Amino acid sequence: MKSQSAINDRIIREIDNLDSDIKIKKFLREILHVELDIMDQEKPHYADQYKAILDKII
Amino acid sequence: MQSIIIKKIDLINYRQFIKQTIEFNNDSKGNIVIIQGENGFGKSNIYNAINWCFFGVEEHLRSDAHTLPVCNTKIFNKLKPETSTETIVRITLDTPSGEKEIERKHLIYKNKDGKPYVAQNDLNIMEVVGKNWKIAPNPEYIISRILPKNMRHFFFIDGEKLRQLFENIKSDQIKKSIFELSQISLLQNATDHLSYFKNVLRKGIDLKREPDLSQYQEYLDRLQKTILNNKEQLVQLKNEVDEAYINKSKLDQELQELDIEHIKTLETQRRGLEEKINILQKNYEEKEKAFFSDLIRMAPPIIILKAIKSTLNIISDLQQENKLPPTIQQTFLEDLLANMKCICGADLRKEENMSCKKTLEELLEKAKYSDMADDILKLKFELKSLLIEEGKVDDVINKYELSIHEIKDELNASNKRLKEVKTKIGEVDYDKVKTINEDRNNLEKTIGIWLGKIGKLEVTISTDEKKYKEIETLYNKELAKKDKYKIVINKLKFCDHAMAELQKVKEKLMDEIRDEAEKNTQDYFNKLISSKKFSPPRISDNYELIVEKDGFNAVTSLSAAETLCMGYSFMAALRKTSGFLAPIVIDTPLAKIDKKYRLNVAEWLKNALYDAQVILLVTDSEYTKEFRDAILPCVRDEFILKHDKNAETSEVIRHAN
Repeated sequence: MKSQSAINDRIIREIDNLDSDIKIKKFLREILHVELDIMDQEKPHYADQYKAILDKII
Repeated sequence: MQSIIIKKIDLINYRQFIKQTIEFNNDSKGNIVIIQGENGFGKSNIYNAINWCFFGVEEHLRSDAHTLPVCNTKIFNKLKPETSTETIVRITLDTPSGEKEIERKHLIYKNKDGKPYVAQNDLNIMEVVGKNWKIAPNPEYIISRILPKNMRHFFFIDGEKLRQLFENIKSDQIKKSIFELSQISLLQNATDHLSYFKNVLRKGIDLKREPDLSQYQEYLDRLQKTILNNKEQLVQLKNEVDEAYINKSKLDQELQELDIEHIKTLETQRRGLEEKINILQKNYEEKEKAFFSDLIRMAPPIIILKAIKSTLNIISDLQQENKLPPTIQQTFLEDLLANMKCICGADLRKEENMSCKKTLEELLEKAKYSDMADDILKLKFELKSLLIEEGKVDDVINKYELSIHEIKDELNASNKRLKEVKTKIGEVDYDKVKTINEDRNNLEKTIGIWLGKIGKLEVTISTDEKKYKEIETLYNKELAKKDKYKIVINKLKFCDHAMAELQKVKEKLMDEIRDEAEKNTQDYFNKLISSKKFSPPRISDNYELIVEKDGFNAVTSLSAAETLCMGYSFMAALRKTSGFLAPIVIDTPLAKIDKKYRLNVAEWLKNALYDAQVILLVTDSEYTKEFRDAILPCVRDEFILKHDKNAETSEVIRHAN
């Protein structure tokens, strides 16, 4: 189940509206999804996922 | 969008509920559920059970209940040492992605000393996958999608606590709420993680071959660890301060429930009455003493009244009969005769005045008794004085009796009132008041210490971050000299760029959400309070809540009802902006709301929260006929709490109508 929050959709929309490089926008969108998934973890593991996303983009 | 609704709540061995199922009606169209019960019947524990099931916390507990396990106390007390009992709260939800069953379970064990401890704490979610019920792999994650823990205060509301919070609302609390709502923490986490992630990227460089970079890297690693530790400490401290504020507010509420002001008033009354009684008692004794002394002084004439009267009569008779000796002095007559001169000046030697001389000689003879006549006249005068005194006795007695009676009446009334006050004070549990007060003072002290630590930590973190950036710039300069690390340099630059863009999104969202929250708060507040006394509420650039009255911010001087309405407006505004569709639970929603606003609240609940399931936990005095009639078209279910005082258990039964 994806987030019920309209705010999360709004964050993604704001990222899409940024006057920035498409790669940056894609990277931000994807790391935000990682953040949503780990938001309730006490010691979140994100580095490997961040690395995979960045390696995919650059 | 379809909202999430609670279909059923099962309470098994939870607080005063032994085995309870509250099943909500799905056929009816209304969105409001009423659970009505007197104080102490278990309303707040239903509120607690919902919070506990979702988030493992009980929001509304008496201070003495914190040390008790969640299971029923009687059941726990009957347990033999080294055995256990199970408490379960299960909530069945209807969500847009199907039915879900959240179940929190505690296995409570009684140790050798009879003390409880939680041996097992389980959270499970069952959900429908296809046609079958299956256990969801990550229950916390599912709950966070329904309602994140840090946003629960916008949905599970304690009316009394909300009012207390808004009585002294501070800009950082408004800011924190907007941060939570706008998921700024999510953006902040991403920024922090990107910063730490850059360290991971740097690890790709063979530092053994690059001694100049190695030094910087070591320093950056160290600094980052310090920053991270300090940030964790900061979050922990801030959470502890929040928790401490909540606990302080709970203690305040308990003191309020004990009506400490009333106790203080009673104490003042007792002291005042005791002082007054002392003074009255002294006055009474003095008056009585004076009365008796006057009575003793007046006693002789009273006792010999008859004798006085008869003596006076005798003297008067003698006077009338001219039988009293003359009152002329003997020496005076002797002088006249010696000088041979009469009073009128006549010469007594002359023959024609011989009769005068004879009269003087006769008078002289009688004058030997003139002292006696004096004495008789003095006696007559004194006896008359005594008679006058005797005549005053009644007046004096009346006067004393009146004032003594007045004092005695006042003394009796004061003693009676003192007895009443003492009885009332005797009903107060002083040890409890003392303990709560001590706990509250300790909390205040601790909060002060923590706030000091927070301030220091914030300065340290900010200094370290500045230092980190400086070292990072030096590192990047050194790195740029080395072509072989071009890819790493690009990735680091990319991360910096991404962080800068995230910051832009964060700032834009904060501003937009603040504006939206302000607009929605104004709309709701105007519907609840149609007063022109103050301007519509505003949220300033510094996140200060402003309600202007005569050019001043009157937010802290609103009445209890206005404050609560302000709280509802702000919470509902944030809920609306958040887009979360969780049910709303409000404990004692109308407690401090004046009669004149209650119907506004009813209308507001119907219109503003139409898109959410609203569970209202109300007291009998809140759920008046007038309020019920107003809200009834939107009421889906009505339940009543019944309490068995002897068994110390409660049950929820469906309203007969």
